[in-house]
Amino acid sequence: MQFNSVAYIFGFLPFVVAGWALLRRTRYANPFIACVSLYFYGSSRVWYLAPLFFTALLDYYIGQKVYESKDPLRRRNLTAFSVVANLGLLSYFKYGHWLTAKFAPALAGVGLALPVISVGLPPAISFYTFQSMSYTIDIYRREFKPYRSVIDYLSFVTFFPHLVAGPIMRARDLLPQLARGRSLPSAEQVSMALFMILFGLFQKIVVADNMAAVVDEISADLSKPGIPVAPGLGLIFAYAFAIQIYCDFAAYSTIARWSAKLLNVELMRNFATPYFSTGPSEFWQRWHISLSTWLRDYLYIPLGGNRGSTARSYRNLMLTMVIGGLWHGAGILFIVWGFWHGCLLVAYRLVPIDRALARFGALEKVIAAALFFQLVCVGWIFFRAAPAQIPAIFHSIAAVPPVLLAPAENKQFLGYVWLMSLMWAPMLVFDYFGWRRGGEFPDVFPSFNTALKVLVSLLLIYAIVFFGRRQASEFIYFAF
Amino acid sequence: MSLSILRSERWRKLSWVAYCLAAVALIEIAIAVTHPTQEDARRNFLEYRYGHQEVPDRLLIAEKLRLFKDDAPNILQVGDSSGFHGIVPPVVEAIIPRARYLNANVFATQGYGGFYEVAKYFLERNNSVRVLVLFATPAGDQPRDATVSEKQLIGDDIQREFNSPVHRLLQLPSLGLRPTVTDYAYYGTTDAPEVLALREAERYPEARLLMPQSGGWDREHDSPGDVAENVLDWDRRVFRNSVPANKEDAVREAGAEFGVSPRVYDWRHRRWTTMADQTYDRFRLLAEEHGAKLVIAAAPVADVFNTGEVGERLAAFETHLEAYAQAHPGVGIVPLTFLPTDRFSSTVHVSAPYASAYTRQFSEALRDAIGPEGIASLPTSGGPPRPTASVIDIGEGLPGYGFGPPTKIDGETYRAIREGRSEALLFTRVAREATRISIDFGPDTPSDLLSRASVAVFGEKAVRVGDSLANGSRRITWALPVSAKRYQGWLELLLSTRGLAVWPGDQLTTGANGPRLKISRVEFH
Repeated sequence: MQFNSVAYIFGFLPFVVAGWALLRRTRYANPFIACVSLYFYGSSRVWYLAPLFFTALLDYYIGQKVYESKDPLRRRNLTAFSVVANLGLLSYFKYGHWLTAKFAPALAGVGLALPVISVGLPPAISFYTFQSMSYTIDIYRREFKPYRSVIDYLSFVTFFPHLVAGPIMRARDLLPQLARGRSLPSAEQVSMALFMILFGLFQKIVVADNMAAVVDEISADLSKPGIPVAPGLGLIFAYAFAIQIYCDFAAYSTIARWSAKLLNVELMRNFATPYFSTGPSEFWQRWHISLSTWLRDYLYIPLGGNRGSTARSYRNLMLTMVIGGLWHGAGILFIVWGFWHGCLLVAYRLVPIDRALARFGALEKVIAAALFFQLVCVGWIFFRAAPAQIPAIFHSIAAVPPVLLAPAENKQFLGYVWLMSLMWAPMLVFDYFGWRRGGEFPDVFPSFNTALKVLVSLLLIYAIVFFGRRQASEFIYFAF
Repeated sequence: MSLSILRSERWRKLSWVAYCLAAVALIEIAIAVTHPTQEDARRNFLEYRYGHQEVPDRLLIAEKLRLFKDDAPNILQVGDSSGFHGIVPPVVEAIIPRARYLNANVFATQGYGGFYEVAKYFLERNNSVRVLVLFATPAGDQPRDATVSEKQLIGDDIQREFNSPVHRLLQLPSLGLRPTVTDYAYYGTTDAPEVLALREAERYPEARLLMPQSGGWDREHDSPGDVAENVLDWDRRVFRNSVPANKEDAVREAGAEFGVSPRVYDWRHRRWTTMADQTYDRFRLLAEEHGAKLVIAAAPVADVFNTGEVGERLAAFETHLEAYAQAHPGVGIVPLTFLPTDRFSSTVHVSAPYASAYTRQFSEALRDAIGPEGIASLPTSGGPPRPTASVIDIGEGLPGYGFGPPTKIDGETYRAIREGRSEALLFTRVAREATRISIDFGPDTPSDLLSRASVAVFGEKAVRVGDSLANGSRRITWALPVSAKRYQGWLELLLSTRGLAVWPGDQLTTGANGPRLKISRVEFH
């Protein structure tokens, strides 16, 4: 089920909130949450539930055993087994086809027949395997005590708001919230949640989906053999995808977070105006925060983090980012994307341009943010494009100056610029207010008076009515 | 009590929601009063995207459902593009007594779910329907995952926007203003014909002319080239980037995608079945619910596919279809037929010049499938008369086949027959009283060509009754054959530069005279 569907907004969510409100003081509350979450996830394909159950029940069982065991070796082996099983499952579904398809021809050359794995990718597998894995690791580290109730545990793993595309929650943050009896959300929480779900729908249906159309269209042009893409459209491709992926993923996180809030559950913030970042460290504190902190806690720090020599620290950074890239999907360009961000992190540590510019004043800070945004967009090209499209994109970007000198002859370019401005401008305004408060737009909303709240809401509603894409595309991160 | 609620903290926090809903209600009421629109203009089915024409699939579905919602047919046909381009309703009506035939097929992108929703839409609005024809090609569109459950299919959207009472609540009056608002925001104007989403959408102009007149039929693609070789070439270009070395390879490639209906477990009845049977059952129950008989019709397939493994697969389909009809005596079938490959202009589409001929063949099979009792039970239609034309517009959206693009000379629009051809077709419905056709030819049309020019209607030559000059153009008038009346005013006209009465086949000729014959106006009186 999609967050941006009428069925979710007007059917599923009200039903779940009402059901939970009725059952919350009974022992049926969490079974109810687990059941509706499984329906939410498995309604499109029932078999998706199989790997989810496998991961969840395996880690539940191993978590109990690790906690009970006093033998360090057994504890370590059990945890290692959980990690290997989770990563194995993830690899099978996510990388199996890619790897076998790559190696099968080479092996066929030496007379070995390698069957190519062709099995559909269950949505969210990257999210729930990481989440489930961290549960066992936290127990192993004695940072968390497992819950006895398998229902509570299942309601944590399958909790529908964050199941499909995060935020990746730690058991220690989410499980206690779900396990205890919760009061109804306050009027302020409900008010915020209603507004933020509307805001998330605007982000997704209006901004992200319209930008997706631009990206798809240029991508189709890039795939036509022998026909060069028009000058400047490579730049539009990069910018439009930057807007699309941000608004798409942020919309998911927003709707997830505030849907959970209606059940009086707090999910962690996943975005904080990332395109206002002046450098890569700040960017990764603002972009997909739940993944970057997960990678920091379970990969970067165990690798040694900042401890040790500078070279070692850089190696850890690069390794973390490359694995982070690979987490997103099977493909060499995801690795390149991770590598690019690793390089940016290292480069900005070697030459801290952002800090140097920010020292001068506000304008220089804007310049630093604008410069870093361009570098992020270069990364998005690798993230979105196919390998064969990359040269044409950069070739088209190189042709931007002549396009700007003769705008009348490049109506398509100008049209796309206009569309991006139309869609992106309101988001920039919302983000600016959020950024000034050091967070996101939700942090500003409560300070509005009633009239302003009504006005902004009407603008969002009618933006959706008039400009929302009807042929809804899935959230990008469903594929991860 | 009410005052205490208004003073409460909870109200203070949530009052904006109530005010917002009230504002939306007021705005919508104001729009409903000042700019009332039809329900069809308020659906969320089309995109109105920036810089993009609407996708023909959606546009034509929306157009058909709008045009024919109260058509009162007694035979309703739903399915894929093979039927959309293959079945000409006036021809069926000429063969099956009392039939009012609605061709509601559009494209395979609807999926069987979409065909079902279209059928449901018409059946719920027209209690005159006695026969529901499910017409789809066994070449590619048998019920299977790709045509039943694939995410890209738009059946769910059709259900949502046309059949769901819940979604009807969301069809706000303001949605009627969406094209205007998007045009203004995107292009700064509401009158920019070159960019508006609907006006020049692919295939829309001629479909908009042909569908209402014909009862839902639209002619197949009209592209330059030789149709005989197009069938596999088109398939290659549209579905595959590869270029097979020869026709046999191309058949194998195309045939590999025909697919068969998979076995599935029917949880409800706890038995194994096929996806095809499950799908047919849905249609059968729908038809029964509305007092109609289901006829499952297999679209014709090019004989080039009736070979090897592909041929075996098609034979298995045929056997399966017969078995289904035997198991359900109330269901009729129109069996699979093979036609010469040069009668197709894509893998599964009968080319426009052969649509009428195939429709005759189909109608006879359908008549048998319905049976004499079924035909006797067809109610006399109370539907609106199909629109007629007295003039054919030569500009955009010509309801013809085999003509080149329009050109302007001295402010007058002309069209000539395409390169390599000496004949072209025109399709239209005229008033039953019309007895003559006049065609204005360009002033530079050679007189020897004009003297040989002829018009035939459904294979019967029209008698030339007069030549005259009109506004500098040469006007030739023919008397329409009396036999044309049997199609209730629907005409398939063959314009020939060499006096032919029937379509000569698709072999292109280098010395063809067609491009020299320019026409500027076609009028019926």
